[in-house]
Amino acid sequence: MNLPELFQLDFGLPWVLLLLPLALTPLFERQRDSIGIPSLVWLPADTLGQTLRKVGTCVAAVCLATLIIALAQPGTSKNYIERIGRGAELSVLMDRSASMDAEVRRHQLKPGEQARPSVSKNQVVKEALSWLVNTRPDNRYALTLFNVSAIPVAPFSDDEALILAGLAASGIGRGPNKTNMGLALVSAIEQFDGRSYSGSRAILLVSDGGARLDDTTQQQIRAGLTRNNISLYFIYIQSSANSPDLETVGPDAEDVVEEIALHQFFQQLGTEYRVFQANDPESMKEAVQEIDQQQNLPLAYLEQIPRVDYSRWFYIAAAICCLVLAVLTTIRVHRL
Amino acid sequence: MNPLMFIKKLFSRPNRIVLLAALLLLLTPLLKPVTIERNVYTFQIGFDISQSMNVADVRTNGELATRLDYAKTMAAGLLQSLPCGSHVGWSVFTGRRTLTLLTPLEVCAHYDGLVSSLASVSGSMRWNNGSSIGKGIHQIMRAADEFSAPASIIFMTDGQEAPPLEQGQRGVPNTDKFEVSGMLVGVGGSKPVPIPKTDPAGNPIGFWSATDVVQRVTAGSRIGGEELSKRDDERLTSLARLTNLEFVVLDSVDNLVSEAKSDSFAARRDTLTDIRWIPASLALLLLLWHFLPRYVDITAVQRRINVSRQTQ
Repeated sequence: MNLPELFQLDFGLPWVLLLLPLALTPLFERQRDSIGIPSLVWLPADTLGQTLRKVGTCVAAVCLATLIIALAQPGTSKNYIERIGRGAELSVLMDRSASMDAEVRRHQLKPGEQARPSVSKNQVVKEALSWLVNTRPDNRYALTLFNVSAIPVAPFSDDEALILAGLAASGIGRGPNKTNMGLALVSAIEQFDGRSYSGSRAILLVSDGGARLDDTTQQQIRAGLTRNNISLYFIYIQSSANSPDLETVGPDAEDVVEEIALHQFFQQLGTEYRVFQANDPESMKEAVQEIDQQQNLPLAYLEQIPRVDYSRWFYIAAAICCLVLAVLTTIRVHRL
Repeated sequence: MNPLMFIKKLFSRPNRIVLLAALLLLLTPLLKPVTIERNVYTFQIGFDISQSMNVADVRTNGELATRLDYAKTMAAGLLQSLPCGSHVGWSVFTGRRTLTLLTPLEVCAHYDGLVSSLASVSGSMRWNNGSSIGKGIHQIMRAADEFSAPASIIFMTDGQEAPPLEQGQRGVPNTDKFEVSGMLVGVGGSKPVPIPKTDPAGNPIGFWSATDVVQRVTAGSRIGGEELSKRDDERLTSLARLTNLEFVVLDSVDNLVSEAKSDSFAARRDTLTDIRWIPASLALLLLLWHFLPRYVDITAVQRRINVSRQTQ
């Protein structure tokens, strides 16, 4: 416990401090110690005795004060240690529209391969991302769901349980129809505004569709990604055999399909962009693993350590005061 | 001074109390927390974020606040007062859907996270206008029923249905199959007031007018008044009856806390409890008793001294 920490003491039960005036009780004269003596004039002044008595009174007051402070549970709760880990600030932007509740498209069964139970896209995404959060707790995560509007669920925090609870919640019930990806992207980019740069930054866009973005939105997104130095990863969940393969489309591909239009816009961004296509739990997990490897640069972060309780030291101090008091009473100096 | 004399003086009668206190205080830090069965609570708290919740007709600390902000303040107060070991999650409702934002998290370990997530609940999340409250309640109850641990729900709404229900419509799917208890919390003033209208970006653009909204029609004649909004106690009472929830009206955080901490929502769970305060406060009492100024009849003391002199 060094000095700056002392000033950050907080109390688990601050109201107990209201009892502190009780620490003054030893300062009052106690008649119990008095002996009726008609005159004190003939007695020599006992300076040493008087001093000892004053010391005793002070020790008693300190004893009561420390004991009352101990009962108020002093400690420091905002303890951070700066650490350098490996990872990134990842903002997960997850499609939460009704289409994500549909089942994933499986690859064609090979001869002899057993059919597996069907899972919704939502479920697949949820599991892969939960895996990422569990294996890389050093990363800092934020979670935003989107459909027509952007729904920020968890801002950037060091509490990975918050993100896991958000991911768990994303699998419950059905989402609304329609999406507005432009608005969602702008909102995810804004999460980085005003944050000090502590390591690599990325937005993980997970969706089963694309969007045709108007010029204003395109400019906002381009400027925002550059301004905040954000990489963009687009995990595209293929819905059906008709879903386009974004990795094979050339620059001259017809952008009639929304996904292709979006992909082509992303490719023209000045900032880092990669697309991952997933059509089953395995490919989804591969995509997430690859992103994890990409975003494995040094990251400065503050780790919060649990509240440190100092009441034990105050209890011990009070006990020592009591012992000192007891010893003080044994001292009688005969020097007449 | 010889050691025997020292010990005799050390354990003299008035000193014994101080020494006993010292012993108690030395033992105190050694006490480990014990597990005690205590009441804990799990709540999934749902906020109506439909447009009528933008009406600023409730007062907190003397200032007018929107119904949604008021509901959030109440939820934050409840979060603060729930004992450790309790869990809280958030949901939002608008249109015909309730979305679960967070499944319940432990309130002490994840307090900061829960607060920051609550702060982001706002009207800008709205994905749809209108509010079919019955459907929203049904969905939050279904979600709570799916959680791995049993949860009660708290649903905060003004009761304004848009479009309005026709006569005889229940407006709520059957919830009997969900083993979920909870409260329907009414938020808003009791006088009908205009509802602020916002554009998709969330900027205010005046108020909803009578021709903007679907009006109720009974026996061919329009009843009207759907462009105005108040806390609809009648509707909320009937919703509560249909869903087996408790209907309460919020007038203070304390009110919500005492309703929420009722035994019907409590679960008994072993919680680690610090018991160091017990020997420590005993020591404090002993010391105070020892130091307390008190009146002693000096003449009685003198008499005793005289008696002892005479017997010598």
